[in-house]
Amino acid sequence: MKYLTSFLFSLLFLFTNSDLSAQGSLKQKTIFPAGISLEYGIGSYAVSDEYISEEKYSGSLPCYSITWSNQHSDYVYHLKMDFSNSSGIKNNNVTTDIFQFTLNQGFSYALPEFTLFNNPAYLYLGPSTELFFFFNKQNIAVSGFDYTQSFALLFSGGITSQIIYQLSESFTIDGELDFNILSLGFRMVDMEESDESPVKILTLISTNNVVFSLGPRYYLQNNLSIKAAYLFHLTRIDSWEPLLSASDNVVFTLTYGF
Amino acid sequence: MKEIYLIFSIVCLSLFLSCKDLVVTEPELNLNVEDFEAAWDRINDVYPYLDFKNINWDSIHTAYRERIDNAKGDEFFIVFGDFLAELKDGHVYYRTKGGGEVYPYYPQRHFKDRHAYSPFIVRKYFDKELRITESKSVEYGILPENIGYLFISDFHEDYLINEFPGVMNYFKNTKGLIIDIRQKRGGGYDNVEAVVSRFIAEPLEKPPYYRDGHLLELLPFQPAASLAYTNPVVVIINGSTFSAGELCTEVLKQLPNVTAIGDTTGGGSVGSGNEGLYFLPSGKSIEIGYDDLRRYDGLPWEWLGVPPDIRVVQTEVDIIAGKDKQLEYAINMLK
Repeated sequence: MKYLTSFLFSLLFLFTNSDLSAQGSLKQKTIFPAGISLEYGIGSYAVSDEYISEEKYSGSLPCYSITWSNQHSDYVYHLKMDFSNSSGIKNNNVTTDIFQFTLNQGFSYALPEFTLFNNPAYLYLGPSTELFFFFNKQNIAVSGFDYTQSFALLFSGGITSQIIYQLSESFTIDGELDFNILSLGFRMVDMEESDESPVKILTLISTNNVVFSLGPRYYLQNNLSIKAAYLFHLTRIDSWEPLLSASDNVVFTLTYGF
Repeated sequence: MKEIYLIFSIVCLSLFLSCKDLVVTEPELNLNVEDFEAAWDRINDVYPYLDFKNINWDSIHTAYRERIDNAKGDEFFIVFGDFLAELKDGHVYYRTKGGGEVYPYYPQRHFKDRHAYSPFIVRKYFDKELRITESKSVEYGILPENIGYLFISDFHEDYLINEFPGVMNYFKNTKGLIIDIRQKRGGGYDNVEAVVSRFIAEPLEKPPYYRDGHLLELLPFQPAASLAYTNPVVVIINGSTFSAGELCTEVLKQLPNVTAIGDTTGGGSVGSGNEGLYFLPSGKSIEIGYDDLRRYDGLPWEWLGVPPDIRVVQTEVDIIAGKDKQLEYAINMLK
């Protein structure tokens, strides 16, 4: 109980005190929308998980995420959790349950500012690490036990990059591109029929986990902004039975800066 | 100019919203029809019970070929599952390309009895924790009044070959023994032999075993080197006892000191183990057994099951009430 109280007190202290001595100057005026962001997205999703079947399954896959980002003197740190789930991903009259979870953290360093069509643009680039979990359970059994399911798990190191194009004091166009470079991958394998290892080191050639987003952000107040964006998420794992999924999403983000 | 921006925006939006379809595409072809035909042929060639079950396999082809032709994409799995379920065989399953077993059919007696047994209720009859073998295939202990109890969960691998002698050594001074084979699914003949050999003092003829319609000449069960357990034994079975569990029951029932109680077993006597796994052109596979195992009366226990010597009905209601009537009956028999 003592530790829990200390932990909660520390959290409260962290969120209510913007100037922590070890964090550099948080009052530095930057364009990066640091703070807490809540995001909801609705998207069109498609997957081909050849561990089960080569057929394409598609449908609507809502996603939810929460991001905490903090402006330090020379970089921005972010921690993002993303979750999406649907039981309605279909191939004709067959459905599958899809569950995806992502935990991503990264450091974004500011690159020199430049001008594009007479407006300033800001680029950020840095390393990121990510945990990505995919679970697919197909509803094709008639009764009793069934094991028509597969999963993939990636622990990845990669790149995170952002571009912010400032149209006015309260209006920007935000773009983001995140992708993995090297991953430790886990995938369900058929232990009865195959000696293949369920764990492998994966490079860009065999595995891609890419998120791209682009959309306008409007500042309602100095520290409160909303964003509507297009988000594209691609996952490709070819080292085992191929897994390929992609989604086109429209996401809405509410960011509170501190 | 505004119209140009509007059209440009709509085009961009359309492109954006269809990116996933450019990346994830439909397969160029599927082998659903080829898979169906190969499965039909395989069953026609090796499955031993088409006549016994009075299945007109040609008419099954006619009925399902049309459904297969009309199935789109993975709808194949639904039709294919129905097709295999026509065999009404609890051993038959299919595997998706990489997935595990999908059983299209379960014996009705299994559904009746699957909740009519609980290991947690069984534990209430013991003063102390049950022992368990390293493979977790046997759980065992001694009940009050020096009655031995063992639950066999698995006849697979070589678990019982390795571990059953040690288990039986633990029971050598008991006045009676309960063998619980409820909630059991299959395994190998060798493991059944490992169990039976501990209860016979002299060789015991094996029940009939047919392959490709021919009766195999099998050597009789041989007693194990150590002393046989000749005190009274009660075997508890129910509708979830299946396959190797049924074979074990049928053989043990032949011994004068053994009584089977409970309810008729599930009824699955087609054999072949992993060798029955047959790969279809697309990489999917089906498990179709080709061995025909029989009871001592010459009939297969497929569908028919192995009946108990004494019927003791137990339902889920008994389990909810915290009672294992079948176990209590067995204890009272051995007191």
